Amino acid sequence: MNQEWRELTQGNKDSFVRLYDAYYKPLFHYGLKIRQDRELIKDCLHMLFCELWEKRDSLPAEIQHPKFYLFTWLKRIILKNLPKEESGIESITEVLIEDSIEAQQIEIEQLIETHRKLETALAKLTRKQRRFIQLRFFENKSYEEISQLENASVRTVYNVIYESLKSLKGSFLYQLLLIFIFSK
Amino acid sequence: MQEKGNTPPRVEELISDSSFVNYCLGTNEADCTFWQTWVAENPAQRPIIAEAKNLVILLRDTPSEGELTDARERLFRTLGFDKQKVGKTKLSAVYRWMAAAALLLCCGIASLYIARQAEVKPIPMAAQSWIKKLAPAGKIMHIRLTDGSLVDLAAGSTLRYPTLFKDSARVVALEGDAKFAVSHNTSKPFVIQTADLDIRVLGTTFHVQSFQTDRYARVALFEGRVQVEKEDRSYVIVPGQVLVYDKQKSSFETMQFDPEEEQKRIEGMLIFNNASYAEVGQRLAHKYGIKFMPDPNIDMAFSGRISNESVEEVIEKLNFTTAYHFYLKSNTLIAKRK
Repeated sequence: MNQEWRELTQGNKDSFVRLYDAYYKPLFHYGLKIRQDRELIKDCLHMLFCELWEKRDSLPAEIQHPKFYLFTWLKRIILKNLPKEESGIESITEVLIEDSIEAQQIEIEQLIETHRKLETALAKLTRKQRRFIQLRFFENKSYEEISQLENASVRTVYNVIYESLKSLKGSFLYQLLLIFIFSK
Repeated sequence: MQEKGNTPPRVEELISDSSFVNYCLGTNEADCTFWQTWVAENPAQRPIIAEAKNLVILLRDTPSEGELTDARERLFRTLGFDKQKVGKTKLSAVYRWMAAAALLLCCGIASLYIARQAEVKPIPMAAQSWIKKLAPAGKIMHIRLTDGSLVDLAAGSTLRYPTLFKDSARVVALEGDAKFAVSHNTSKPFVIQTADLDIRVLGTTFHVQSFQTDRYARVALFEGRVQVEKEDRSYVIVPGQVLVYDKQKSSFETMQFDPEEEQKRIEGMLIFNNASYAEVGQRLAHKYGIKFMPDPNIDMAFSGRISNESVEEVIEKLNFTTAYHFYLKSNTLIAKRK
């Protein structure tokens, strides 16, 4: 990560893309923890990486923890772009009551680690299982909707998802437990 | 909801149960109540419930493949990265699709009416800050929208767009001509509002000509799919077809078009078909940066094509083919009966 960062500040496009691919998912998840609004978070991530690339020359080449830098930067963009009518005192205080830097860093580390593991776990599923998990959870479709989309019986959809979850659970549940204990 | 006996439920069992997922996501009140009661009655199962809930939330807060692809494409487009170079292998299919979906939309041209009184549609979004861009005469203005879409705004045309696309659709307002390369985003359709038509796309490339002074609005589709709406009427056209809207008759017609000719239109060729003085004058003013005053007393129906001619050559052409004498005075187009 530190090397990628250094290369980014020297204008290396490949390093930028590697950073993007490595951190997009945990950043996305982190954003949703601040505010449960997918479209807003996607816009904010877009701004983050646009700014990152545009300001690459003026970024410090040596940062101790570039990834925390990215997460904090994202948080700032989100807070700036919250809908005006909703960024009232209530929601602001909610975000301002922050854990210590260390606790935040642990949370971020674990988010990154969880997504790395999720990726590995998903990779172990068959293509069909992965697609069904995508539809059911990432896209929040019902069994009935998936059954129509994939031309399979509801029972089949259920079975495929059940087996996929079993496999996912085996891969990384311990990790999951940890991270969510930290993040309430 | 399934009956849970004394045997502890397994995580995969819980998550496969839709009612449990509804409980985790808080999407159904009855399910929430059921599971809250269940957890209260089975305190020993709390750890397993927590595990299952965590997995559901993790899965919900992970971007889907579609979202990842859209976001990546949008970013690289905005930054002007070479697609081939930075695209992962799985993305190359998307880019091929993008290229295929290049669609060309041509609305437009000339009118017998001084359609100036036609009102510009109100934009249905308050609480948004909007940017307005007007391309100068004889120039094409290149605009990059915040979603990564590119717009080549033709001379004399106006585009209004929000600083950030916050709503469920990406809505922009156009008066005049523009070529759009819309970045793909299935969850946020792109809508172009013109004085007469609304054009709805998911992500593709097209050309709009929609000056209010024009008699016809045209939508020509090369690849992909586009939906054109006018009040309660809606048309979907297939590649190779052009949808022509006649403002005078308020009628639509679909026909085949010639791709080469369509390309010339994009590059700025003017095609007049029984065009009025207002239509011809307005178009020439945009193309050549001259001034023009509409005059309802001038009754002409000019047909012809103008591509790379100088303004003098165009005036000569008008003199030959109409009952009027045209000339430029202080950079203003004047017409007098012969």
